[in-house]
Amino acid sequence: MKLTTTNRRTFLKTSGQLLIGFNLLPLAFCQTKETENILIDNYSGIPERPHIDRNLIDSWIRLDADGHVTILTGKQELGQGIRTALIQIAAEELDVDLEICHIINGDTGQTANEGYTAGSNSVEGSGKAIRQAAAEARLVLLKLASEKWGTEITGLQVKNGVIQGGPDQKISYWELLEGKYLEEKISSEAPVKDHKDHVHVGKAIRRDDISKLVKGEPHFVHDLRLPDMVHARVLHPPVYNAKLVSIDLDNIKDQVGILKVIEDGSFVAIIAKRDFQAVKAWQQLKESSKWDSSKLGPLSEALFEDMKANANPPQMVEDSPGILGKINSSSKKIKADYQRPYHMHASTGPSCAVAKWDDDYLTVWSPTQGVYPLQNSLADLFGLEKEKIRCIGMPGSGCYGHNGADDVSAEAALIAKHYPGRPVRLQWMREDEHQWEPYGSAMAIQLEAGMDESGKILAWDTNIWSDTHSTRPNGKAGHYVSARHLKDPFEFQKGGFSGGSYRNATPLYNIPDKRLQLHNYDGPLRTSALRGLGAYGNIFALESFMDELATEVEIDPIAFRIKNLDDDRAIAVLETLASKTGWDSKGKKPGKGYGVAFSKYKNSASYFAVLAEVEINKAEKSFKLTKMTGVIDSGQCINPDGLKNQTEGGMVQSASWTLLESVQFDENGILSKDWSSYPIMRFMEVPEIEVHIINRPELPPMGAGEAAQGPVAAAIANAVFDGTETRVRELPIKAEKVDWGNV
Amino acid sequence: MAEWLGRGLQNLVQRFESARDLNKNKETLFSFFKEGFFVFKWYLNKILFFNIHVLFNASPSIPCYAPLKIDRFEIRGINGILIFHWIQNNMTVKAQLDLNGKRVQVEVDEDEPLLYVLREEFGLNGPKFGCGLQQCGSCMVLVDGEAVPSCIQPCKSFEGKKIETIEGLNTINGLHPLQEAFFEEQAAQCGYCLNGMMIAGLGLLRSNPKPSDNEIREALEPVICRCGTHTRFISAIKKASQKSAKF
Repeated sequence: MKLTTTNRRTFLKTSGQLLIGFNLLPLAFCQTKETENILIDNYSGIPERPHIDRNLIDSWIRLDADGHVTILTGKQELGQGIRTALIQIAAEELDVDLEICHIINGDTGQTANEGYTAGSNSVEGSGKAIRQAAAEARLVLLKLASEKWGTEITGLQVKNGVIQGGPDQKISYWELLEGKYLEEKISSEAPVKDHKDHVHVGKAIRRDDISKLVKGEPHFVHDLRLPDMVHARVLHPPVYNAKLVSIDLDNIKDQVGILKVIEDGSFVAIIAKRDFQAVKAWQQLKESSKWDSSKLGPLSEALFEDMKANANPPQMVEDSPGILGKINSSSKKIKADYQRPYHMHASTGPSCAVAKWDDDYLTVWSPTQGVYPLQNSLADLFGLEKEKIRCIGMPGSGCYGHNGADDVSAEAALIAKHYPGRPVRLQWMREDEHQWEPYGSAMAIQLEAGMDESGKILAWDTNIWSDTHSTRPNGKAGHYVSARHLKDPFEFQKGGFSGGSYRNATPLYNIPDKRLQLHNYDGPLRTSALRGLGAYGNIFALESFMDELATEVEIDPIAFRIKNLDDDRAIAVLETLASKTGWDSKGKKPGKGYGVAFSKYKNSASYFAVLAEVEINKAEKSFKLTKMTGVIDSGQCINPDGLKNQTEGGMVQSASWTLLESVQFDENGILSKDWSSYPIMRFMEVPEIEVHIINRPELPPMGAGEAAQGPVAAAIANAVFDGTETRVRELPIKAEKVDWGNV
Repeated sequence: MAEWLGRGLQNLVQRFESARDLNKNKETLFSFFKEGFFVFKWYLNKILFFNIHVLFNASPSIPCYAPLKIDRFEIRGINGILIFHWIQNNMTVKAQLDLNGKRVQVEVDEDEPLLYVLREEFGLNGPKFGCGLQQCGSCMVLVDGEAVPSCIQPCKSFEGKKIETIEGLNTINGLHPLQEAFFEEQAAQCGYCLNGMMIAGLGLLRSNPKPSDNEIREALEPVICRCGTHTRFISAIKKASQKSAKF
């Protein structure tokens, strides 16, 4: 393609008015030399500049002078493949090839504020915004061309960014723009392409970042190497709320490579020239430190009892007066209690961030799920105006919710404050990650329901006991663990319990009377959002209970679910599951167990049904999860391979939680400190996985990333029951919980 | 001064004395306190701190500590206790490595594990810190054709061995069949464990170019993946085994 003669950089040099109205300081700060050096995606076709207003095309789509398209999203790449999916959406509406598209993830210096990358919302939210912006951009460009040629828009066609009018009328987007920005407002009236015309959306486009990863190219925040960067470690207390009594800092100070030892209340950290020097000093600090700590409790044995005894008075989420009477007067009624323990995110790589202070300007390179919430919380931590803080989102090791990413970012900034002018890279040790990340809360769920003789559910009562599923530091420094350890500590205020606890607790089934009560509980361990939040425990209970009800009326579990469903798409995933797995011919086989489960995530996102198959070994008193087959309907599928990949991953991760995992602790602290004290599923135990997609291109896309977590747990429980006659209601489902005498 | 003090230490003390112009009549006591310390008592009336790093050869009468690196000494208390600290482990050593087909040399802390050296000295990104406990496989490298963790074993211990990382796989002709297979199978979510998977897979394919599913699982067992991408890693290694007869 012939490129326009106006070079964007020349244009920028000769023009200044575009920056008017911006706060110039953070921008000037953005454009330090280092920032240019460290660009991990080495494409630098557009100069950095902040977005002005999320209603402008320029905040989402930028066309530079080199025939490239840059897409900006406030969402983070967490390994879910969002970069590729968003590029597909933008390229589709713009009519450009994927090869010329680039994407910039959350960066307070450049992208719009899209909150957290959480709740399986990125395609629904950012995807929608980018789709509209791209459609608007195309319309604006077509209008420019039609004005230029005096023709109607309807007669124009676009092919890879080149607009064609009559036989001699041909001009590219970039030639038309002549280096100008697309600062038009997004009217939301620009027509979005009909799905039948899609060429990029719906295709299994390969993730380009994987081609870089296989070559060992830099990708993660861990791979950042800024000029003059130094390395830090933080010494976390042995247990929550412990206070530092004494520590031998003198012995460390003068060791080779140690640049700085920081002691601020109970916050202790070291800065060293080399990473390993910091690790060695950290080890010595750990050994020489003495702490005053209070006992942790209640312990695992007493936890669930305490939960029921000491939770807050119930909060009525959904009421149905006289429900217990209705259940009692039903011809079939059952009641059951389920439990899930604390689970860990347990990312493979430890949390890591880089921070740098220049005078009172702070830059943080962070694997956070939300750069703007991070900016807000850091502003609180340092009593600094937001404008003086720039947060640049970078990929971290797999992120499945609120893990250590925000904590490590705040700590890096706290440490770097003591060493201004130099980028400080803080990486957690494995035990920091295992002990200090906020866990998915333990929960108790009590269900009670009544049915008629035919298996129609009439009334359903739910009681949930749970600690909070969200303690994200959204503007409050007290949510950072280390902010609580400072000499002048920030207080942690839980800030109320979130709706995350009862996520998916209301059955999607067609039940006339439903009641839902939540008993908020202040548990012993630090908790926050873990993939699916309460939905994991709630769906485990709900879908296990559905099987118990089906057993009670002796109806096939898939038929029983369909019987109680109105939602066609829900029925479709179950029917597809039955046909793909040959469900009808499975029957009862000795030594085998089959279990199904279903949910519509959040009752508003993807539909997912799953079959789990287990092999029973009575002689060895063990069982093995051999295969899982999932069917997912996420509405319009942007990238089928991406959707499959994420669903497969969710299935394996949930199987690991369900079969193996439970955070161990005693009165002195967390015992699950590494992979041997917190084993997760490895290759020999991973079942065969199959995922089928029901694509509905005519419908909006729906969040999918967390859809598998709950149903997988219940499907495994149901399969174990099918194979062993033991109903395991307390996670994890371990072989020793099976009554082998009964098999 | 006792006769058995090495000349290096005597020099150090002399330098210290001249620097501080201490009272010539002071009584110097010392005792062999415990491993890692010499304690000297002075009659002083102020506390002083020094940061002096000196390498010297101790007398053979101090068993097995030569050469020692005095890391720091300090004077404490009104009675003037001079304490010499040494840290044996802060010795730097030279190591000759055969890394991705090149001979390279580094001078690093004696017990610095290979992983840190690969990342910091050679700017490699493939091997990653995951646990530092040899439990997760993120840091795997190929050593003489075998996949091994690099997060604990000191760099020096890899001398004379052939070290390979994923950075060494791609050639001027493009991607290695294993890299191709991982890309084509889209075998990654977050990708943090990808290095361990590829190296463990490569180690297997070197000795067994046509492995069974179970052999692949066994070979990848030491590597942790939290995103649940396991089945794709198995497919990728199978695909690689079909692409090439030799690795």
